[in-house]
Amino acid sequence: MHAESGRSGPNSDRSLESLEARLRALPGPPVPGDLETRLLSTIPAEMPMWEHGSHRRRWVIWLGLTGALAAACWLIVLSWPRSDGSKIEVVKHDGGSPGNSDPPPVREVRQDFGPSLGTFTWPLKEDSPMLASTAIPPDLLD
Amino acid sequence: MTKPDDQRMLNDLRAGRSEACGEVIRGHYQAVYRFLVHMTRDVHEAEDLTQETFTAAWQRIGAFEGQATLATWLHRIAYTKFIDAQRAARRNARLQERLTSLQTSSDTSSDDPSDSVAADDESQRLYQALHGLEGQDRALLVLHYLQGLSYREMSSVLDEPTGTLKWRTSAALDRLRSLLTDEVSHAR
Repeated sequence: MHAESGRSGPNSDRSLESLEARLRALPGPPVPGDLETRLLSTIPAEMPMWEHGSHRRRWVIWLGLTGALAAACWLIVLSWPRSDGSKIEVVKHDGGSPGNSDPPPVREVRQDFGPSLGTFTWPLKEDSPMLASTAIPPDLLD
Repeated sequence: MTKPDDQRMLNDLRAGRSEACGEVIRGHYQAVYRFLVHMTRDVHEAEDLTQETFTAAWQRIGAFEGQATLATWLHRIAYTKFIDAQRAARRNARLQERLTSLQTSSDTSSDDPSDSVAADDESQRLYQALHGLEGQDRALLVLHYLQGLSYREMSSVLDEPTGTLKWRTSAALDRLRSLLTDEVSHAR
């Protein structure tokens, strides 16, 4: 097909640089004359509302809202003990403030065992004369 | 980053002046159409996709941030339209048959853009080799060498890293050269 066209032959310069140059110089395909008119007819009568909030702005807004929500949650958590102070104080002053009029629940449970347990004192009284280190009497094994 | 003309057009568009749309069309429709001709290898399909590209552009113009140039943005829409059309064609068996018949009769078809483009045999041969490449290779070479987009702009259009695009463009150029070399050996 090309040999019949009467030209001198295909371009023998096949370097990449030459190919790049030839591609750049390649003429573009002709554009239909009525295409511009047809495209102009696609323009809407009313332009869509311009989104002032770009993606970046939207990110910033979302980030701000999330941060505000997190801060609000944190504030609620921090203010929670103030609304129900007595319960928290019991836990805080457990064992630390003997003058507290409301004994903690744990202490109440202990007292349910009754006075039979007695009061714990240190050092322990030595009621038994036998000590752990008492020697075995020699006649015990006979 | 945007050109001064683009910036002015953008300002007009933001101000809601529909005349600015006409300016955008006049400034860019030829480049968009030519890109689509190279991609589709069919002038009628390219015309349809050009119209779809600009219709989509008006719908999305509100979201255009102006970080890329208008040309890059329009090329991206056009490329997306081309990919969508390719997918639709694959799904549609009847259209597939039609495309096959178009390809087999491409030597005599007046729809082949290379017929009307190439004033000389060298350009004709280059066009045919270019259109013989895979779609992705063709997109790279057309965008970079024929449409004059930088690798950075191509990165916006094709959504791939610049380094990858450089490497792939070089490989596509090699393949084009191989096609031309093969053709030369066959001609002899």
